[in-house]
Amino acid sequence: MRRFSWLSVALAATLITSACTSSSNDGQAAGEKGKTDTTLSVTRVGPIFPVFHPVRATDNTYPLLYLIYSNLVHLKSDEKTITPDLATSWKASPDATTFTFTLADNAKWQDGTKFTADDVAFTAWWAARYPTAYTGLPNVWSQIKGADETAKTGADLAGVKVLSPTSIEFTLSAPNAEFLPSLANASNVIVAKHVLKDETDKTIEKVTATTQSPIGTGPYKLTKYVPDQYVEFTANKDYFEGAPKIDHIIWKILPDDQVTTQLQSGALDVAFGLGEDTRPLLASVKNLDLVESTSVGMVGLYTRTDAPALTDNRVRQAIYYGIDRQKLIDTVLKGAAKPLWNPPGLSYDDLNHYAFDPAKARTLLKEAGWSAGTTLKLVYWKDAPNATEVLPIIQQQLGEIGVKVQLNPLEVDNWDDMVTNPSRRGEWDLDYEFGGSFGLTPDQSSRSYSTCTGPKIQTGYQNCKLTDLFVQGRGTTDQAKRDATYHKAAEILNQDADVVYLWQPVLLNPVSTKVKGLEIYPFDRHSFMRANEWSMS
Amino acid sequence: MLKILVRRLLQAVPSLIIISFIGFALLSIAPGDPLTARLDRDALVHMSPEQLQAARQALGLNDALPVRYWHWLTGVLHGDLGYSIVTGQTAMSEISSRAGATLILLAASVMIAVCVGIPCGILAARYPNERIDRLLTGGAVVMISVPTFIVGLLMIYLFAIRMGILPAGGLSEPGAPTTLAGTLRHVALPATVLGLANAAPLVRFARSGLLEVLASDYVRTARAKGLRERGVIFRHGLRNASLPLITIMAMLIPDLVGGAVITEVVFAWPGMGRLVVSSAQSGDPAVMMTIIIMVAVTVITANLLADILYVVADPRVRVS
Repeated sequence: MRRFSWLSVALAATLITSACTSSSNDGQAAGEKGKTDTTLSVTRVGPIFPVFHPVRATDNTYPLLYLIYSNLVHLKSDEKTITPDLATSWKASPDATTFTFTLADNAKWQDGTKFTADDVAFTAWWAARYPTAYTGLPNVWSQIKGADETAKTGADLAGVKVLSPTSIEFTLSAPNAEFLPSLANASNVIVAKHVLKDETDKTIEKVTATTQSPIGTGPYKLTKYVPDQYVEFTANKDYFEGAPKIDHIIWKILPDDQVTTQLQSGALDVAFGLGEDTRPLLASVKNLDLVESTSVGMVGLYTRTDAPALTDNRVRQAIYYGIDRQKLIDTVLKGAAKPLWNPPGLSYDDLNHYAFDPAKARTLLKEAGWSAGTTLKLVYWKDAPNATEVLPIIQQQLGEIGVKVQLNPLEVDNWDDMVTNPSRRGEWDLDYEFGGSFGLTPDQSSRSYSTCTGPKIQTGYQNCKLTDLFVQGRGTTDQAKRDATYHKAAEILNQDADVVYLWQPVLLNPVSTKVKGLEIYPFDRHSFMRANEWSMS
Repeated sequence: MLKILVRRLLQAVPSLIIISFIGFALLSIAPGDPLTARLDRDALVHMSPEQLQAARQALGLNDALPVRYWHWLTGVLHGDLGYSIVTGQTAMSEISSRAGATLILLAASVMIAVCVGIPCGILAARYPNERIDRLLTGGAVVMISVPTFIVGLLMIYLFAIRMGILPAGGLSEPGAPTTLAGTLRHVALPATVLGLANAAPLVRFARSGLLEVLASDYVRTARAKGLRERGVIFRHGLRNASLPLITIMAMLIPDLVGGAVITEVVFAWPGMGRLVVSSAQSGDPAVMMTIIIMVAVTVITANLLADILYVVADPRVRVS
């Protein structure tokens, strides 16, 4: 026993001394390295899925795809202006059905193989062939004519015509003016035919070409992925738009609290999409700019319009009038949000803003024959942004207009399942939702109302006129016509209020002053489209 | 001895089966759907009921509980622990890529717990009710009472943010080659937090055990013989007081494993603790079950080891 314990003490002593001495060595090594190579550490709260292929274009895998791969086109930070990427120029038919692209002739895959139009055709074909493999954000390729046939038989995609190694034409099955900007989404990056031609939906998430060493035409090569630690990217010197300026980009995989901690300690240069609550911790950190960005997402209460108590739109309007959104923004959110009265992207200024008016709310409820005994079940993810501060106040405010609300906090997968699973619709009336990308374009909301006859999703609100308007909006490239159509759709949504929109959060993006040329996009993950232009001083 | 060992090993089999079934059942009846962890919310909302059903079928989520348990159990007996629903990798590869980190953390923590806890306990017992004793037992009570994540956050604030001498989290400097020195630097804070939390009960048990022994007749005899105090404490006192300590240390192992979960999350340590948290949140059955079994095996082994050491250290146990 005695010998054992002395031995341990000696070991512990060695451990401590080596730990102390090593700190100076490490510092030196890092310093020497810093002279030659620049390294940017960046992160965003949330998980990554280690499949570096557009089938998993979700969460934080989404921005990483922009580093490895290229799209046909990209967007400027206004999320509207389309800029060239692999496509140097393009032409859309006036009916928004046929799109022709001229491709860069100097782009190479990261293994040296030349990029051609065949790769684009392959990307579209593979996505159409295995539509269920895509578990992330939707891709555009299934909109191409013949996609259904390809999914069934594996036949060539009828709507794709390779005109030459540097030009390609797509014909869609239905007009869609949004096709072009949607090509910039990370779910539509172009993948290499010679690398992935033998993969199927069964193998795509298991091969090293998607899990360890993906090959793209993008500005950075994935050089190392260490689970729960980081993903390392190294500059692709042969990038067709010129070698990127930063040598290494390290994406750190961190638990939420460590993000602010590492920004404070200087171990992290950039973080995307933090909440206002981190400001007091970060405001005093030296050499750190807190860049604000209005998110394209929203926070709001989905109402289940097929619940008997909520069928009448006057009840839903009353809920709108009964919540003092501006006061909640000013007090609880410390001003870091903008009030909404429609989905972001359709919140036009001349619509009804539903400013706080409890008297009007009571009148509307009376007209709708609201019975005082009704209790609405409000479900939410217990860790949803601001839920625990905001919802009790909303409960109280609605109580004052005579609407009783029962709060029901849930674990994330139970909540997710409850509000998306058609068989559990009876378990909730109101659902506190957040996020999404409605603010990107007016058409982003169309997915929620894409059918007026099919199965009911989320709010259960269906309106054939609305569905038609969105189809019309996509059906022309005439911008004035499109604007007028989306405005009409916005009026309907504003009136029918299937969602009581609360606000659009303003997010904090801490960026080290060392980093230059980093523009934060409203959809923060899109900022990575231009990672090749970032530099460090 | 061999008979005891065989009997205990045989007893472990039904324990493991019962633990695994309870774990499996709890995971299955917990509300929610593992599918939500795999699919993007936007995709999930827009899937038709038929598509959802097909996706569940493909992941084997549609069978009845006993059927799924049977599939899982036979799979395990054939060495197949299943796939993670979230990442599509095998449960074993998910765990093995993180086990090393956890072992480093646990080994360093045990070392700190033993090297700090037992000497402090001896010191406190040597000077009972004096200032040093009060300081040490008081410190131990504080370490037991304050949750590890608070101690962890305080340490991060002090050493990583204010002084900037140790990294705030992680196992290595991203991009830099892995070195022993770098690993030690990264393990220092989490291992100290976890080690001290587990040293605290050791201080108290070592102190009380030793005090009891030091009050016994044979110690008085030893002192009466004129033996030096150091000899009294180490040869007569500690050897006898070490019996309960062996049990305590074995019982600390489940505590350590539990504490590691919190410590790993606080310090962004890329080990199994973080995997437990993320797979519990996403309800990833294969990964959770593998971890449950591994923890159960660890606890059973630790108890077995304690029994064996006890037999080795105390001949009286052998006789009875």
